[in-house]
Amino acid sequence: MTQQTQTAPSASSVHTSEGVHTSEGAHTSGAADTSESRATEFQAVEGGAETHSGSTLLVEAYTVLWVILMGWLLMLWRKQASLNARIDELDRVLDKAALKARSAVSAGSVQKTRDSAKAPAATPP
Amino acid sequence: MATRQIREKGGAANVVFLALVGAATLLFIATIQVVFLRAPIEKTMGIVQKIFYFHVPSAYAMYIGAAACFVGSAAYLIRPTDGGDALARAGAELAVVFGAIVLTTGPLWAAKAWGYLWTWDPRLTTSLLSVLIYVAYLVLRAFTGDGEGERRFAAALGILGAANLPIIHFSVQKWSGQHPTVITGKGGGLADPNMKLALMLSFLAFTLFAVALLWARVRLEIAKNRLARAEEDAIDLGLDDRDDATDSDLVDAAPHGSNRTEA
Repeated sequence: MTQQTQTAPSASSVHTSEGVHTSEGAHTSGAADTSESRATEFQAVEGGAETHSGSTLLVEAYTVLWVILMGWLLMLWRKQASLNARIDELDRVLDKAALKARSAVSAGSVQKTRDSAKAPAATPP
Repeated sequence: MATRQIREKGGAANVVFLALVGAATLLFIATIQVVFLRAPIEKTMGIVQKIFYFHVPSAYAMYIGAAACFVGSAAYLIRPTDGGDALARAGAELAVVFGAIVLTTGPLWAAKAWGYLWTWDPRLTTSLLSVLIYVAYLVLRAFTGDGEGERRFAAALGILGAANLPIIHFSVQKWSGQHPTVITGKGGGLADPNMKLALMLSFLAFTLFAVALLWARVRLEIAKNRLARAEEDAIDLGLDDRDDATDSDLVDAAPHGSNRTEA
């Protein structure tokens, strides 16, 4: 049984027993395709109109370009955020090390003071 | 507690930055739509006139960069801080980037409108001079140290560079020349409402984009200064065993000394 396309056929389309063929040669439908009915050759269109609007393609190209650029900027921002977090951590570790060094220095000086206080008593006059 | 405050502050900054970039993206998409699909082709110059919608906002973004460089430089000379210096440096880079766009799109337009790429017209010459001043600023920062003296000298150059901006703006009125004067105080010479809409959208998009770039660049510069200081502290604490030559470079990169070692 012949199947009809859902859309109304245009004036340039032709109904066949196998479906609907348009004037451009495109086969839009048909369950009873045979190997003979299929295209066996590709031919270039001569003097045909452009298939896509150049203006729309231009707009699409620039839109994609800007979206990619902005996405890259966001990625840089995120990388910077992780870098800042690492510097925060480094600062924290260095603060801790500085504190430890200071306490070691002050402990050393206390020990030195104690030693010097004991020293005169030990030596005979 | 302090770390949590920093994280919360960072989270808020991330949201604001995301909103800024999102808004700029949408505005750029809208600008491209209006420029190429709605704004009519200009009667005399033809389609090349559409460069105008990117050329003029780029010049405006260059002014934003130059103004940021001026503010940062002045702030640094009044009170030397990393923030002021970072703003000045980021502003100068922005001015060079957008200045390069202006100096590329302008001659492309001129080639069609005037028949040649370049002429020593007052506005063209002063614009080129301005870009060269900011290039000189960046060369100075790149090839000298990052000490107090170099920073102050660069700040003076940043202020000098801004002095050229009003000259660019008023050069057309004062010395005539060939450069068109479509944008004037009287409202401009854009006859079609879609031409005006395209230009307004483009101005907005470029402004947000310039602010986003400036912000990201300032943040990077501040992070660089913090890292240099941390490296200096690591050397002072004996945690970094690099040789003396490297040590002196790192000390030079952190001009204000360390809070940790001073404490």
